[in-house]
Amino acid sequence: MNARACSWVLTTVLCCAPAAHGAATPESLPLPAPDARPAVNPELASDGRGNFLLVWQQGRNYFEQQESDIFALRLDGAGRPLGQPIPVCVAKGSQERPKVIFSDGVFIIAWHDLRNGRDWDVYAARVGVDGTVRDEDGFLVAGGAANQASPAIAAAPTGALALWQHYAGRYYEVHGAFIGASGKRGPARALAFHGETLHGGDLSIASFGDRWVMSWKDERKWSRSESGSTITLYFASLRLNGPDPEVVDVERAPAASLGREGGRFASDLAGSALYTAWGDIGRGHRISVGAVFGAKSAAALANPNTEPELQSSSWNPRQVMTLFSTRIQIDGPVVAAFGDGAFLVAARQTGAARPPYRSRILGSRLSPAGVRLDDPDKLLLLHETDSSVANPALAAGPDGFVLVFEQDDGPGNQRLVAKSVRLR
Amino acid sequence: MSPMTMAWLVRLTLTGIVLQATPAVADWRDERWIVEDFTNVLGNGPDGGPLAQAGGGVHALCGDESGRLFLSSGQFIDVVSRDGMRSRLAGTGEPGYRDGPAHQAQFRLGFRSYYGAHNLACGPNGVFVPDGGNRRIRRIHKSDGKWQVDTWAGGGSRRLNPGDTAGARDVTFRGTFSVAVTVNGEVTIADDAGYYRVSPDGRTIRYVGSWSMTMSRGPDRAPKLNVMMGDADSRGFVYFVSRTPNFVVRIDPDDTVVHLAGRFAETRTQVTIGDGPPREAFFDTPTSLAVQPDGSAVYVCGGDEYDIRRVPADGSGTTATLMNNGRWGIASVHPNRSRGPAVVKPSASGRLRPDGELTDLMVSHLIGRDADGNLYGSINFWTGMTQFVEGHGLLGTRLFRLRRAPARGAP
Repeated sequence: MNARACSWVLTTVLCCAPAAHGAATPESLPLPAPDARPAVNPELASDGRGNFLLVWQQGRNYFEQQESDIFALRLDGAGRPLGQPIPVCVAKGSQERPKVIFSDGVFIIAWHDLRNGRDWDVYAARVGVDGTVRDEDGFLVAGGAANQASPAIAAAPTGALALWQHYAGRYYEVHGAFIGASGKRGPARALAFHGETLHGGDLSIASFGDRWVMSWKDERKWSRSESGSTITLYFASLRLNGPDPEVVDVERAPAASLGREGGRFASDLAGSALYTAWGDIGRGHRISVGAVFGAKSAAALANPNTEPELQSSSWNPRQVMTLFSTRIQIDGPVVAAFGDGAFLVAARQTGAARPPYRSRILGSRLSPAGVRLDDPDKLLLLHETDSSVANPALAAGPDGFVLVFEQDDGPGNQRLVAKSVRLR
Repeated sequence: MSPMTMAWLVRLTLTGIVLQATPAVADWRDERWIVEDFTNVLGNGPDGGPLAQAGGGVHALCGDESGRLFLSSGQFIDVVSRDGMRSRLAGTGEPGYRDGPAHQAQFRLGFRSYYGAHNLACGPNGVFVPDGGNRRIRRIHKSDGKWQVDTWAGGGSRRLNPGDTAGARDVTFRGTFSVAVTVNGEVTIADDAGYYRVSPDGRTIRYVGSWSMTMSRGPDRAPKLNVMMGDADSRGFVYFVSRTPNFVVRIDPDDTVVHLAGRFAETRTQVTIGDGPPREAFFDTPTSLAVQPDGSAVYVCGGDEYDIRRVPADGSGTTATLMNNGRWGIASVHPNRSRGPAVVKPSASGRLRPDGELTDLMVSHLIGRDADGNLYGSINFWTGMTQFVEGHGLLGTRLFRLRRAPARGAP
């Protein structure tokens, strides 16, 4: 069978894939925007008391056309906006890819910033629960020659642990520092294990309080899996060592499929972190996968689910689980949050190649140990629309989850939309 | 005139005589291709900024005469400015169809095309991209100081017969299609069945003709190509590459189509066919093509080739294979039999395997070339690696530049 015939068979199979059943979710709420630039790359954090802070990138770094800024918006427990967008950083140049966490009474936001016009630096700012920006246009976390970029942050006992990529010659190193809730920044350090500096990017980190698990992609250090596919994704567990984060152990990903695209962590803050990713497992078939990690080791825990047979060398069902049915194609990223005693996973289903075009965001639930709680073929339909949607963000509060995503309703109307998701 | 001035004049005159007496012979066998970092940094990086530190894969590339590079990256078109900064130029990142301001435009790049094929073609009147999902040729250009996207051809329902002319936006294309633009701004479009020319003002399109019967599997079957990529040289000759069947075609300024290279071959005999006369050479499912701007050669790569093949643009002489010392070698069997690890050995010498110790230069897709004729390549993601250059180490980027150090006497 040639590739085109395969493609048609695949399309036919996917068209016949079981429709996701509806979740009990209210109407979506278009969120206010400060201007006509597109609102993209949303991230959400909860204070655990029913207050959410949404942060996003307003605009993009379009050549001779547009720059981007960082904005925030308070949401209530039902995802409704509280007030108007808050300018966190509107400095000259572009600011992109904000991340947000809540710790020690304050929201901490980190992003990378092109205000110097030459290269990216990492900045951060604190925003109070009432929406007050405590560090207007942010403070420098990491700067210097070449890029410091793509920060990932997680809660720490008195603030946040921030990691970022530091360009050191031809390759990126992984650096980190603590950012206090007081606004004080700890010393920036290259992370190392057994004296060897960690290299790469695509950073993600989850907190267990005073321990962390992180992931990164290091293509300098690629290796072959048992099945022969190439692994470039690594995991490490971290702990505090005085003022510095210390790498306790390092493990490579249990399967290549886990490291294809855009992996990220969600933590229950107790002892379980779910890593979610998506990617092509062959012939353009893109599925979502995940693995569960504990606080004590960088090794993925055993997969408690029974997995379908997949003819893919990048697949390892002993430690890696499918998050949705493999009959459902996913067009990432895949995000997760912990609430109501379970992880909720959300991702966009791949759209059709031909009209009619419909966009769907699907959900599925897993226990803290990673047991799938929903029938993979009867997933939660979190949102469906004729408009293009992308980049879901998810966080949980005492009254359930809030889902925010990008929705394109035409030129000048590329905005963020929020939904409350209550599964109890 | 002082003695010193006189001495300089004599010296200059002698130098001129020597230069005139030495014919400028440019032998492509003396070319040197140097592998360098480009973009899509290992481990990924931010969406833009300094080129070699930026993330984001690239499927296709072209360069304009001012030194800017244009890249297709997912559903975005990016630009690399002359100072080496990469930024978004067009697209919202999501598939759709929308003309207008470039930052609000949408494409469906790689949709409804064979193996996601699409290329970029830089011309004096803009950057052209075959938008397979929308069945159109789209153009990115600057008008009144603002970057815009418009539809240059396609999107209609009319099917033309050879010789027919119609409004450029009234027609529809068959299957996978690709685009090339000449220095005078004339756009040539190739689809499964044949090739079209769009008038330089973009108003009309002419279906010039169907493919040569030498590319048909039988005398009673019309040839059908899967055109993956196209390019044009500075003399107005246009080239396309087809994957399955595996051919290179040239379209001359007088509209003549020439079956330039490639042949049908039984599977069991494919590996025994090495470099040779272009029409006798076998290309293994190529996905990409780039032209040397002076019109001396066409470079073919991708699919299961994992190497760059040089095809003389006039169809004479022999094809050649780029070896891992950055020089051309003649493969006595298909270069797949010479394939080694992605290691560049700048100072190595000798011949390709099995006749010598050198392997081919491992490249799985040629994303395009710039206005100076430098090539840009990638290695498939599954290998998890990029080129390792002896004495230099592993490249820092997944995509690399193959900078051409021309042979002596070359332009």
